[in-house]
Amino acid sequence: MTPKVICLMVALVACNKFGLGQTCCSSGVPISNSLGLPNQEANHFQALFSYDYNYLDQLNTGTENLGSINRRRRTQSVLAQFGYTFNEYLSVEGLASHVSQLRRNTLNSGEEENTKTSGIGDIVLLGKYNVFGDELGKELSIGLGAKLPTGSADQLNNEGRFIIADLQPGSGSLDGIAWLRYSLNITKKGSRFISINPSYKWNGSYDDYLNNTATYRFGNELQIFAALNDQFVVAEKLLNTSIGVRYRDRARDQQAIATAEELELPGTGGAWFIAEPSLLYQLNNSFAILMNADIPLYSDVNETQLTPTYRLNGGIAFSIPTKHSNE
Amino acid sequence: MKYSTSKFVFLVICLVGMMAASCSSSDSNIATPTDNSGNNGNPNNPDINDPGIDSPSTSDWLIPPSQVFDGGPGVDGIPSIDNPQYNSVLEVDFLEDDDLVIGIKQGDIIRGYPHQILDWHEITNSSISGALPLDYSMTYCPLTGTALAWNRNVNGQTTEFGVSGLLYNTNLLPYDRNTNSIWSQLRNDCVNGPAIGTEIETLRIIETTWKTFSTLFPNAEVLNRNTGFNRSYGVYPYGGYMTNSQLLFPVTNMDNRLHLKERVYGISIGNRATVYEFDTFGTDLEESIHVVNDEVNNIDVVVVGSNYQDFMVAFQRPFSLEFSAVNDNETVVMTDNEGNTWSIWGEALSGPRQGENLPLVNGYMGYWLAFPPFHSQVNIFE
Repeated sequence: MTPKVICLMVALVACNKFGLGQTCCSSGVPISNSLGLPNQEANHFQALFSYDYNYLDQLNTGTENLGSINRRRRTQSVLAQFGYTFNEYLSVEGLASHVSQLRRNTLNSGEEENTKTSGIGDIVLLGKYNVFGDELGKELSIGLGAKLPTGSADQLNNEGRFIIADLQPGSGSLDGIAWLRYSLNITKKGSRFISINPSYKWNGSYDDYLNNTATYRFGNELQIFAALNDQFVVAEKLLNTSIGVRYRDRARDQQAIATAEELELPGTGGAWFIAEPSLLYQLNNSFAILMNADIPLYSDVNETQLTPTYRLNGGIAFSIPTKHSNE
Repeated sequence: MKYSTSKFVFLVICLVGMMAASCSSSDSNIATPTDNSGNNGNPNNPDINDPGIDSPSTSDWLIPPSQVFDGGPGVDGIPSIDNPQYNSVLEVDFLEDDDLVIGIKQGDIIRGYPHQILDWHEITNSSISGALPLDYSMTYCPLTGTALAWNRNVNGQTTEFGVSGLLYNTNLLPYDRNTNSIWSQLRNDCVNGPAIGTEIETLRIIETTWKTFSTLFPNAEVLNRNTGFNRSYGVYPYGGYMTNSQLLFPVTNMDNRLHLKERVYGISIGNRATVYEFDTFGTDLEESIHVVNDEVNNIDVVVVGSNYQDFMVAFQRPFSLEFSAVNDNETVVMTDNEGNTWSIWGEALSGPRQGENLPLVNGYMGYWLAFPPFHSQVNIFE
């Protein structure tokens, strides 16, 4: 197993967890943040298809957990990521998703009341530059990208009522993304890697919010993901494992009613530390299956808000040389 | 193949982490709202993957449905208090002098509802037993700063009100649990559902500071924090909303004659209202009570209040009575030209009309922003 292949698997494990950021109360819109297919040989096509399940039912105020309440949120997403490597330096990738959101409240009567949205999410495009990568497993890539407002952000409920921003499949805004990944083999001849993935998203404004009476802007977001990766052989195939921690810091959302100035919304934004175990099973040089999860460790939210309880993700990835592959 | 100890430990950690996330559930030791009807579902451990019940579609509204907004938490997402517990004034240790309290009186019983608890629940369904039984809901909307007490006996049946999660002109829309109809707090009527058009009976209340409330009513009962819910009472849940110029939801008429969040007392009669500022009732340094004899939409009214003691209440002025303030008296706040003395609740304590009550007007404290959207004309008393 060459160091480059090892890097590939490390990156696959790292990328799928990274960037699945969440808003204060859901992950529907920021699912589109999932970025970072691994660097490949030139003229390689990659794809990653995954299913994501995100569940929220914990009410937090500041750092205090108030327990679960009668209101829950669930986001289910199907993600498709595609990437193409032009040469040893440049690659591009895109991500599309289908997002289903649900808010379920248990009423005093015991009945449950649902509010649902479903649809195509925002599309993300990312251009990457491989600054360096060597045979010793040291690699640095940087990227710039954008999240396009392709998802619907104005769905109505069955009574024709506008549904709030963080329950919509899309954000309605054009956002900018800066991204970086660094990985390093920490054992000379072994398979143990550390990786770090910081990114920052600048969020644009959705100008047609609440039946064109307001504007809405999700808070800008910083994420830093750091992981320790190692490999095992299981049934004669490679199993790549990763233990990571993600730090997520999100500013408050902003809203403007009518012509008033944009003001910060209470109960939005905060900081989270999340543990992320991950498994990637390499079926062959081209196909792998992967699973990962989010386990919240600590949060400090603004005012009071629902905060993620757990997230599960599973998928399949493949990589195909197109022509004139160097392998 | 053999692995080093560190590799083995690493693998175990990854596998355990994946299993822990997969097995995570919403179990909680926190009490959930009482399931009064005991039917359907299990509110203590709902399965989110069950299909549930979609919101029923209704088409008739007395207010424009396009101006009804989902506030975010959904139906009962802000839980009402349905089993309120009370302490005596002496037992209360969680309120500061400046904390606002809403008081209600029925017979000899006076109860106080602190804002710091109602900020988290918005509705309390209460009952008073005895010689003058009463089932009522204390409703409070943190976004408009308005409190109104409603008689829970509607169309001959006692109901409970809950928070629908909907807003009209950024004001609370409760729903009743007998018919699932939607009501408007500031319109005092049902605007959607089987009870559409039904008007609610409002009860006389007073909003003031804890210092004033505990001084005036030392024998009152006060809603305590044993609500059945785990909330950060004493921490305002809406950040800087109380003092900034921000709206969280649109209103049909934004009037900037006053600061949007200035607390005023408004009298609403028909489609007109008059609001009174605290400055009309003295300064915040003098303890005196002041009285205004006024007319709103051809109805004679009296407003009695004190800037220093932080209260304003209003009543109708029958028989063209003229009122004047009374100070330095623990129970009497005003007298009239007939020689009657009146309490802060509008009760005649002495004089020819002893035992009578001044008729109520539809008056309430609230932020200035609450009044223009619900009235075609709003006067500011000067």
